[in-house]
Amino acid sequence: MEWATDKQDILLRVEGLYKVFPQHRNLLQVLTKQPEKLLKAVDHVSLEVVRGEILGLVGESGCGKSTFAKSMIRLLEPNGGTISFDGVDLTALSREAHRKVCKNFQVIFQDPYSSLNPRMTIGKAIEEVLLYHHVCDKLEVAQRCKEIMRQVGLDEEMGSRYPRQLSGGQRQRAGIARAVALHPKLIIADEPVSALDVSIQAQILNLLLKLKRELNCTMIFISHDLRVVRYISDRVAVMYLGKIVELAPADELYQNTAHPYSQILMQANPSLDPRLRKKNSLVEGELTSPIDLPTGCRFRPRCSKAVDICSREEPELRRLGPGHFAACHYISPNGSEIPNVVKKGTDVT
Amino acid sequence: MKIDPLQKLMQNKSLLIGSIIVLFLVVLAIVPSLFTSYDPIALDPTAILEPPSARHIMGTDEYGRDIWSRIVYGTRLDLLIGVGAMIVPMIMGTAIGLLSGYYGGKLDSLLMRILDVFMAFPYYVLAIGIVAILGAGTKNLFIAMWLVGWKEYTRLIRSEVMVVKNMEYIQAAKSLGYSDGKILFRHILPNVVSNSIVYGASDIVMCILAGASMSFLGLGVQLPTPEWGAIISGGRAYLSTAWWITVFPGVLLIISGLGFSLIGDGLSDLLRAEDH
Repeated sequence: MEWATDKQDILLRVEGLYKVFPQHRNLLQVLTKQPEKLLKAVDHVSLEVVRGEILGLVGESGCGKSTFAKSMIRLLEPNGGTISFDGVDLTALSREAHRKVCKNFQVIFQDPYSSLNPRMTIGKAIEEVLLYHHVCDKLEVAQRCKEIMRQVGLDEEMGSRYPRQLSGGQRQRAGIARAVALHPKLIIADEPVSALDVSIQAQILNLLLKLKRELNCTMIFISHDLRVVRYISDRVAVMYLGKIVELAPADELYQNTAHPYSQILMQANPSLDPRLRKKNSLVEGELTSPIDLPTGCRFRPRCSKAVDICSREEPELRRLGPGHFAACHYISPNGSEIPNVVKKGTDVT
Repeated sequence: MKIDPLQKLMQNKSLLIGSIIVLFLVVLAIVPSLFTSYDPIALDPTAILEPPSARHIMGTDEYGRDIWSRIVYGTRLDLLIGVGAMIVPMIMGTAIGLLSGYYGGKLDSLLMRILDVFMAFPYYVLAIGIVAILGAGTKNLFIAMWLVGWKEYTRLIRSEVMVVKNMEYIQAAKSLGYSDGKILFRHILPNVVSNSIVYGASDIVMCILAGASMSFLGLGVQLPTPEWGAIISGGRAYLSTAWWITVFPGVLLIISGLGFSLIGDGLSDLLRAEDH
């Protein structure tokens, strides 16, 4: 099966990535030998990231999007699956070897208040990265540090400040500076603007776009804010309970939303134009527990269109159009909704 | 917006008063001869058990030795015991706590079980037991206090590390490819060590008292070496007739305890304020 739009230069190929968190058992459960319950945060997900694109990853809180992204670069150790980054099999690397290659992929974290060491000045934090990975030697490190700070829009004098002396936006710029200091090929931006004021969000987004152009890198942009994702992404993947349920070029996804879950997400997104606001919008029910997944389609308990087959078979991602994939029994390959019966094992490429 | 350290010290009353007291004790310890002209050990048969007077401001003991002079000369040893018995366990306990909290798993379980064994005994029971095995004396007193004192630091640091290691900046450090050693010492330690320092300042009080207590019991510093606990112990027999032998070293003990406690309080205010 082919996930990307065309035969393109693939930077990162993730296949069957699997990450579970064992749930704590109490003493009684251990003694009675009850099986350990597993929280399937990422459930056999495959994805290809094309060199140079910005891939948006959206979903509700707790759907596993951050875990997925962190497992991709082994910041969290995946329990299964293969990761191929620029031709290198990341899962096969030792921890030492992984440490050496990890300057190729960097993370921008969500909370600029906790992602910087409170006892280290901004300048020191950036210089530390440069020196540790031998990007430059001690003589030019101060100069390089200043260049990078200028690149992300921080004044040079901020270098001697501690994180607590900076505003949220400035801190996030510092976090970005630290991530781009190594000229990574892939940047994973894990909700980089959701902790910031709306007025600052736009500045940071534009900074990310500018840096992406300047560094000529690839980006995975995680967010629960669909407007932000639409603004920045080339392609968007929608995640639900550890699975990708829809994957499409950004405009296609927003215009021809296929999966019922994506549709609900779109409706939940308030429109600025009151005439476009829909009345019935909000999704019913709570997020299903990722520990006790329902049989068949995992969105079934909340889906208004669920039919018989949805409780029996788990839908696979199927191609709906150029680069547009969705995992739903209800949708036919041409994108229109069809009644319940979809033959098992329908081959779609 | 810079506040210079001196100004900070002036604003922090407990740190200021504590520092003055401790500074005074340190001066006593370094140049005792400035404060008294009597030899702390020399016997004087003409001045046995004299009450406080202009000649002997804190009186004399049963051998005619000047109490003030013995206290002054004892300061050095008491401060040394306090600081020496605090610093080694602080470093040891902090290091064990760091490793235990950071790596977790089997190493953590093993270290925590060892710690449980030490926790099971009250401080003095264990310390007295160790000295009883090794024999009384200043050196063995130190060894006993080192073996007994580390566990509080370990527990304190371990629990802090378990919080800090899940902070995003540690994840960030991992994503930057830093080695465990670098993460531990450059990113975790600076963020948890203030707990050890604050506890250490009040632990000095404990150590001085413990050192004096052990000497009082005859297990630490041996007579006739001047040491506060030993002086108090020596005056015990004369408590009803010559109160000054026990009371004055006791007062000095309290004052030094107060000084270090105030420093501990002040430091904790200062470091906590810096964290927020």
